[in-house]
Amino acid sequence: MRAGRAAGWAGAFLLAALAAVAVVGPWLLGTDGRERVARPYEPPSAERWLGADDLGRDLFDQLVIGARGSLGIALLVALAATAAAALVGGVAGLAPPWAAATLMRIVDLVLALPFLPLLILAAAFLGPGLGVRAAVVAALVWAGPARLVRAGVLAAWSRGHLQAARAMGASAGYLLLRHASPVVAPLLVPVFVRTAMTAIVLDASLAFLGLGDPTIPSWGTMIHWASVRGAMLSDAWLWWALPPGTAIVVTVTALALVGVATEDRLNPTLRKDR
Amino acid sequence: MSHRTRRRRMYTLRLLAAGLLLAVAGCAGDGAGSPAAKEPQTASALTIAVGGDQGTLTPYTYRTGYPGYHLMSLVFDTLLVLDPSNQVTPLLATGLTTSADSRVFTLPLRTDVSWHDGEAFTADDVVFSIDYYRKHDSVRFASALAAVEDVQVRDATVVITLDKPDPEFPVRQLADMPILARHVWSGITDPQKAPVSAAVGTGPYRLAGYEPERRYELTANTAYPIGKPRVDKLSVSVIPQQQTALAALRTGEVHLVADEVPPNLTDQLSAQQGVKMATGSNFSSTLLVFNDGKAPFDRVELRQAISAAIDTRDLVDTILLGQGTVGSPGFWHPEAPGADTSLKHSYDPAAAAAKLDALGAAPGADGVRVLDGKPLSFELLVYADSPDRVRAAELITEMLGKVGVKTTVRAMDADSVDVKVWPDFDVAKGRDFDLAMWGWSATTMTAYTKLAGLVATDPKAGSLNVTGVVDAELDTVAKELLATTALAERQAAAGRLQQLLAQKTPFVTLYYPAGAYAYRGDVFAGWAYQQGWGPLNKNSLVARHG
Amino acid sequence: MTVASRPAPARIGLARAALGRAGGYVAVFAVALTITFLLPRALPGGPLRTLGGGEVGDLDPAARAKVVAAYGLDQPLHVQFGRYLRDLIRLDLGESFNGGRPVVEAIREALPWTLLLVGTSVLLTAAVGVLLGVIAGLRRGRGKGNLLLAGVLLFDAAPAFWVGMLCILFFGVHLGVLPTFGVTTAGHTGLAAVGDVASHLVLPVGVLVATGIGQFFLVTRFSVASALHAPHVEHAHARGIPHRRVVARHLLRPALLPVHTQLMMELGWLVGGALVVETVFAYPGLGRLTFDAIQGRDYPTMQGTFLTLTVTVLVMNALADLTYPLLDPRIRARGRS
Repeated sequence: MRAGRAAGWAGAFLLAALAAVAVVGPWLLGTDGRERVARPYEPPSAERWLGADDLGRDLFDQLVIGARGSLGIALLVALAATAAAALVGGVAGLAPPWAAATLMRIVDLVLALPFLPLLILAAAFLGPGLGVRAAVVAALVWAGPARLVRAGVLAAWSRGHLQAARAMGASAGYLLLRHASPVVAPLLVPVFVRTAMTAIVLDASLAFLGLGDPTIPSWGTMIHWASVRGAMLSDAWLWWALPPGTAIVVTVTALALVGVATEDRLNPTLRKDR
Repeated sequence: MSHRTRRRRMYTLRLLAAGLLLAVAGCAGDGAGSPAAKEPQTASALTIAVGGDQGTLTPYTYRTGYPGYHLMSLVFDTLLVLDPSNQVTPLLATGLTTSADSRVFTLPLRTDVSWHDGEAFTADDVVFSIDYYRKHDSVRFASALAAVEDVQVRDATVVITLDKPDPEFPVRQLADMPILARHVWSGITDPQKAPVSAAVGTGPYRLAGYEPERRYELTANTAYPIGKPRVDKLSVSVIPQQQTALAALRTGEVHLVADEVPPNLTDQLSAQQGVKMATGSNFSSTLLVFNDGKAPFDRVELRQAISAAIDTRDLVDTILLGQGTVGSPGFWHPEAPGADTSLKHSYDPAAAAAKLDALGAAPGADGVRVLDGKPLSFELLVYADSPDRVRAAELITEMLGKVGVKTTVRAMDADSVDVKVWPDFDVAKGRDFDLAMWGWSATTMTAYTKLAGLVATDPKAGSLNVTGVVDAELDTVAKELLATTALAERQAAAGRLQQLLAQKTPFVTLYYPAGAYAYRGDVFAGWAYQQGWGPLNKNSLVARHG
Repeated sequence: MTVASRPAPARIGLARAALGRAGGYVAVFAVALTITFLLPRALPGGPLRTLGGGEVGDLDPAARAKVVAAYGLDQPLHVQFGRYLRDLIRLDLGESFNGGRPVVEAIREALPWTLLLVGTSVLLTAAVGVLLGVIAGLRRGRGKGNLLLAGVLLFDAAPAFWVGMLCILFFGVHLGVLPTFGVTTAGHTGLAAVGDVASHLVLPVGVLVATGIGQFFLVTRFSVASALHAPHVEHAHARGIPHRRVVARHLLRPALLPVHTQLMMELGWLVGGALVVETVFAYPGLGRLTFDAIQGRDYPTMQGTFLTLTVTVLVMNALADLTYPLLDPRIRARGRS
């Protein structure tokens, strides 16, 4: 058990460190990362740890500043999507069948919508920017988790005490708050983690496909530029594509560690271990 | 159970670590290429990577531009053809006689040519093609044919008469228009949906197989009388991701990557064993366009000031690593026929600032100049999927910021930009933007009429006037150019128009990238770079007789 | 609340529920159908560039209008929609704007490749993910379980295109053991052709599996760990049933419930969502077809691919719902009690 908790703490520590970088890093650097300070494609040196990109901008600065964009979108998407998934999934798990069915059909519809054209549409009509992007991604990723939450509630239902409570005439709201939330809450942690992870990776994938905004600083944007400038085919992938990729991997792994540790802690059926 | 799992995992990790190290070593170490002296001019099989599907390779259904047109022209022949230096040379026609007033074009035809299905090629097919294009006018080959008054056939010689002089008719039409087989196309009423079976031409290669979005198989037309195809089997594979295509070039799965190689990779790639680069000029242009009809861009002085604030040399050196040509203020590529090479862009931020001062645009509190009560702060539209242009937009933002003009780069999906700059591809439909990164394909540099098309106010003549510039002087010279009857006169008018463009600055011509294409020289080295376009063309793949 | 207390005969209740559910799916399908028609047309720009070619500026307005009219795009929206529905009844999805190829044919060619890629990947992903998840769940909190957890999460965290590029570099370029792109190499027949397809499949499937097992792993691990101390499992243990059998019978079955949901979701989603991997490896599946159609504003192909995607997702979700009770009888009981 101690090892599990240690992993959780390690994850939390990593996340805190990354968040600190995202918050104060750009301020410490004293630059917005857009200044051209070196030759294009300059390799790393003692002065410039990660070298420079195709315009001669410092890649280390971009890595630090990119943390803000990537963590920002992850946080926004995860918050919005988790809230939506909890609400819809939770209600669908407890509501009368017809309402549950309606909700689940809406979920099905969202799952079935083609994602990419909606993204283009939103970018064209709602304007550019992180917020719009996060909103669109969140609007599309909440549906899957909502099904999982509902599945969790249904499974919890089978454990009996919800049925007992209902038999005693408890209202749906009371059920949701008093009995379902201890069951749903541990489910939400992985949902939050998964959506945050999805958001970061999705953001990078969209950038890779040329559908992102290549002027917003983020780790995905860095990989995009490394990829369109062919860094993968030269040594430059080591200092251009690997660091932001690693940053994504580290962030997502840290998120997952925290998620798993919290999930274990919150799960009532696991408490005996402690 | 868990013990075994761990061991397996450790092994996997070790393998992975070794893999990464090897990959690094591989990237760094493959360089020492042996100076292989042999440069094969023929090959039994060749694979070409293209970035996307190129249609069914008929004149109505190919994907326009490079390399779609060039693949299609391996199957179909034209009457004349442009050689690597863009001079008109014979192909299906054995020669060309032009009347003094550039109205009558006489073309004696070859008599030894047959279609891929064995039928003989005759003058009838040429007459049919002209009629067919005129009837089904949804391709560009139709536009210049509107002026055809009469087509006569005398002893295997075609005589085309126009109702008005067109000195550029040979280069923009006769060397461009693929000839259709009457016996195949007379039955096709909806050419936009021409099936792949209509890809029957007289060209050096026949289309043997087509798997949409995947692959084309072309085989040598051994009966081709004009020359000998140099490759027996040509396979064209669709590889959307250029990095994958270049990796496949290294492994030898692919022998030519039809898309340009980014400048930073040219050295790296040519150091690989067997890999060579074909380099030359590229007539496609990159521009900064203003919405000239909208304040404050209707003021010539403001446009000149912005132009002077842009360091185009820096753009070429930074974005293209010097592998490109600085834009001529007269738009025309210095290496394209008829260019006024004396025109040079002048980068002078001090003069730009002085011009803005003279206009009365004084800097506001935030350093952004204010003109007529409005800050000089604009949105700069750019295709998100065009890395060079996005980078250029970012650098321009930096450069203009120094003279107190603020721009915000807005990168969007290509169609979303087109809708604002060139709605429905019809300049008469207006425009809704301030500044945009723009560009014209290499085709634009092939005819002087296009130069007039950029600035003429009549939407028919000025079909490329996306800036919406309205200027009496530009209009006059454009009209003069279109009215010329001899090629020399037209070229002179084009020179005058280039000078006027430099002065009026309806847009800023930033640069023309150099073309660099990677191929496996150890498998086939016969690629002939056609100036302005690239190596994938008929000249490369056919050894002409005589 | 009402259903729980209504003592209706089970068979009628089930039939009514099935009918109601079917109605729900029909309604969702109708809405989705409308969206697949409207969405392409709502995108900025239009198909003119695809229809008229890159030199569309050279066409005069009359010729352009003719091109648009030839595809019925000058008609009012409701007329176009009516025609779309009418053709759809005859299973005719129209013809692509890009060369006039029937959309049905295009989908028929791309779908097998997608199913091969996605089917293989999802099944492998689920198998490996569940297996590792069970192991980690049983050993939750112990050193080995945690190491396994960290290892899987590390892989799962990497973006697929990034892993894909590294794989091409290593296995394709450096080792030269696997092809870097496409689904086949020309010129193979018989058994060699099968081997050829399989060798082209290794890298894309490998990447999809490596970056995808995390989903299954986490879900399984969680439910196994949760079920480990459930009363019935502890009873089983107390009754002296061998550990292996307890795991197989009392632990895995309930634990697989969320895995099942996940699997169905994944299958439906991936049919349209393998785009990134298809792009990296030049794999001619449905994802590429959709992407190219969007880029070219090819309305009929967009409609067709969106519809395929929608139907797949809906069918998978319906299957997930319908097969739920089979896995967990207690849920079925809820409807009847």
